[in-house]
Amino acid sequence: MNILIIILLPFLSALLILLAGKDYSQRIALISAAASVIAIGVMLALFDKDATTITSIDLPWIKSMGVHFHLGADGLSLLMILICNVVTLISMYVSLGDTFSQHRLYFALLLLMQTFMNGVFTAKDIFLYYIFWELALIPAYFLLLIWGKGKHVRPATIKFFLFTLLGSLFMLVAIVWLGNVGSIADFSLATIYGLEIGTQEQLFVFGAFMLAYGIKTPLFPFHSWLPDTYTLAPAPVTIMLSGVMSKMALYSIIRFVLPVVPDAVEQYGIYVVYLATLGVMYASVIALTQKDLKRMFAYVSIAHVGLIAAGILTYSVLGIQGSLIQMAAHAINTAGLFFIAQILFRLKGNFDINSFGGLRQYMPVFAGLYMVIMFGSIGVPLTNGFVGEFMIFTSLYRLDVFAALIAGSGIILGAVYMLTSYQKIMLGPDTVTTLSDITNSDKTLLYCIACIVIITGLYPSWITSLCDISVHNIIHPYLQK
Amino acid sequence: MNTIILLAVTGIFSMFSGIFRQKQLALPAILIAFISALAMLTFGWIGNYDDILNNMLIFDNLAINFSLVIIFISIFIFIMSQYYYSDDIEHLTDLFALFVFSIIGGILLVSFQNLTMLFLGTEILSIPLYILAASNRRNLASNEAGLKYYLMGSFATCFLLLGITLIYGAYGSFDLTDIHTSLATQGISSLFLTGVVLILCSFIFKLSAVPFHFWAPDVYHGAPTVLTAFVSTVVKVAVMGALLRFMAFIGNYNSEKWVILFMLVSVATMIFGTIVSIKQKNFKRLLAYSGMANVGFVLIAILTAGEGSSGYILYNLTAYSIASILAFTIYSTIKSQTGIDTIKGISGLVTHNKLLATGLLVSMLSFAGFPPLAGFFGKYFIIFSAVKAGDTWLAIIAILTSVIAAYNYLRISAFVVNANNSIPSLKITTRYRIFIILCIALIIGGGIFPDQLFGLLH
Repeated sequence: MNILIIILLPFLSALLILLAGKDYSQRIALISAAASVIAIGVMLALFDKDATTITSIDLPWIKSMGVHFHLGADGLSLLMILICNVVTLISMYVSLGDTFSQHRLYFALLLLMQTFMNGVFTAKDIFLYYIFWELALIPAYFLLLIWGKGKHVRPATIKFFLFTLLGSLFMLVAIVWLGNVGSIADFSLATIYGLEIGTQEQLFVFGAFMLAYGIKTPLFPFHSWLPDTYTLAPAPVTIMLSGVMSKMALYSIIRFVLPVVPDAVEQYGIYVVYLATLGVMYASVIALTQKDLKRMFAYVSIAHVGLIAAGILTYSVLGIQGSLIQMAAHAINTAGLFFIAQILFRLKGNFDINSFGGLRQYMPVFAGLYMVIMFGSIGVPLTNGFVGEFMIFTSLYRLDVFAALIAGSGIILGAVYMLTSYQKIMLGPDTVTTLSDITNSDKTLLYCIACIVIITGLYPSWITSLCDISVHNIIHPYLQK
Repeated sequence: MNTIILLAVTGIFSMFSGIFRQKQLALPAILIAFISALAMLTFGWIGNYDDILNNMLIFDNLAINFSLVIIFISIFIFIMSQYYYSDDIEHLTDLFALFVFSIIGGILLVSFQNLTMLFLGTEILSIPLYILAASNRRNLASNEAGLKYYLMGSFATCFLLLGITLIYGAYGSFDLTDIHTSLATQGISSLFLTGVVLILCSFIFKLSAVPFHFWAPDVYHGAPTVLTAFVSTVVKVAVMGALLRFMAFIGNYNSEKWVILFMLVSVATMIFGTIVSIKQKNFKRLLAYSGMANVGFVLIAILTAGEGSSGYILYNLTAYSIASILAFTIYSTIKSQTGIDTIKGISGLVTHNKLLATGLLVSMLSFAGFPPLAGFFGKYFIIFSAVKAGDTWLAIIAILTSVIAAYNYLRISAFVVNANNSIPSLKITTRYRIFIILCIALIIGGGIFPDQLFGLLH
């Protein structure tokens, strides 16, 4: 199966939506997203250890600069595109529940975003990767700008864009340097992995990359764009941003930072771990005080990606594998949480936690599904959040007890605010008189998400076995030195 | 040389077509002449008149490439001018002729081999511009622009002439090769150094780089939009070409001093251009400042000049020029039909004018340097040349300023897609539509196939 299919499918669908005479945008978008997920399902089913079943594509693109259009997938990429496309499908499905002005453009942009993100996860040429990385930002920008709600949309969007642009441009300098450090310009991943880089240069490249990824993930103290952006964006876009875009950065740390500058990670990675764990604590404390549900979920997201980043930078197989499981979990859980926030918004027209109460007696199914997804987010055993968190904590503990302690307290706080908000919304005094349970289509989606939460919780080892070889390839050369 | 003759004849033809009341012939004739000039340059039929001109001009690769770009961009300017000038304007053919003469000056500039030609080229390039800047005679701002440009331009010319005189005084020749020989035998004299600095000052003036930038915003603002587009594209390409040639000439002598001078100018221009542009409310003024910032950017490539540096510069300037012309064309359409000239005024363009909005967004994103638009590779090549030359800190300053500059372009694009407000549907002809689509296609195509474009320029 050729990897190009997951790029072409959404891209052509987007073109079709824009150029078609009649408006079939919803149908085309949904079918395309579902087809992508099926294509990846087939790839997963055929997957063998060496990923030989997935045909890669390698065409010379810019010869004078040594840039190739080189796409391919290993286990790690496959996991990421699976996450990306499942989340896109969820986002498309959520989009159907609300009406959007200019919805042809809306769905086309969502599909384009999916295309470029798939490109990020499968690029085997670091320059091509950069192009996709930047491209993914443009649809996100317009989605926020045109369909974002609230007074501060424009400044918030521009802030988001400029923050990420700043990081990526520093990354560009590092990429230019990496591609030209050899005798001939070559940006292919194999060459970049084989480079022998001095300690000083490693620090420079590490700094540039981590700035870009720190902003995009986001890690404390580069997170200030996130709460506004997530809150003002329409729910499907928030789902895409938190579910996939933050994973782009985390994936990139695994793919580019660890193998390319191992010495710098060994030496300075601990500082990033501290920053990330501090961020977990910080975001959790702020989340405690939030009255706005969506904003609270945004901070929950910061806390969780901080933990994942810390896990990756422990630079151990256990930490990375745990982070991968946690990435898959986080993508599904935040998608679920933001969808829940959207359902609540449809009820009351606002996200204020205190304006809800006693919903459980009217909406028992919703309350139950909400609880499952929330447990997944907190990391209760048997849900998908538990295993990854446990592995990350173990690796953190081995690296530095203090870091593990900070992160751990942050996560405990996480349980506090999640449960408090659940209590206020679902239990507590009655604020509504009559309400029926959520619609069947919403129910279907929440059932699906809850199933994924529990199945991944019961059987997380498919992720570790899928990515085993990739993680080994990334860690192994260093261990041998 | 054949190109110059062809263009000169075209300019004269344009003037005569006005006299004999055959206005409609002028533009097609000019476009045909330009396209044949492109063909002549591409296929190497440039004509060798060394004996007649005493080696004053040299048509080497650099000259040919820069001339190609100058003429290529000029074609766009002329097509744009068709939409800008309404048919009943008096002296239309004279204006066209002035543009053509100015372009000839540009070609002389990029191929000079003798300081006299440098002076002549600068003057032939500039004098028509002074007239053109004031050509909107009933508009006070246009008159102001013309006068300001003329006065400030005269100062720059004085610098240039004085510099040339000093160099002549030191070595007794205007010819670059002769000066080279004298330098080798007699060593560097202080007269020579002073002369070079003065000549560089006049270049900096023509490029509207800090510290000789004060004329630019007012001239850009007041002059007719076509001229603004011309000054910020063609003129910059020509002067950059001359500067590159001049730097190649002086580069061997005291190179580190020139590098420091240009580093200061480049950094100051980038920082000043971007920071001041943030506060601008007028669209044209904003483009003036952003053009200034781009000049600072290109100067990086000049001072880290290595092999292929002229290719990088040309790529950047071409990408920048096409995006500028697109933006100016759309701006002038909006201005002429609604009278709006502020950034806020264009809010809601997307509602009724999809094509114009797309064009503006593409040009803004290209300015901001987003892949895969031509502007991205324009910036990329410059950053690449800085990193390769080991001047990483210059690359970092370039990046920081381009992030700040991106704010401007994002601000504009945010206004364009604003749904709350809308400007009425604008009338555009099919030919105009094709022109806009062509520009968009070039910007996107230049980004997707940079190699092909780059190969053409190499």
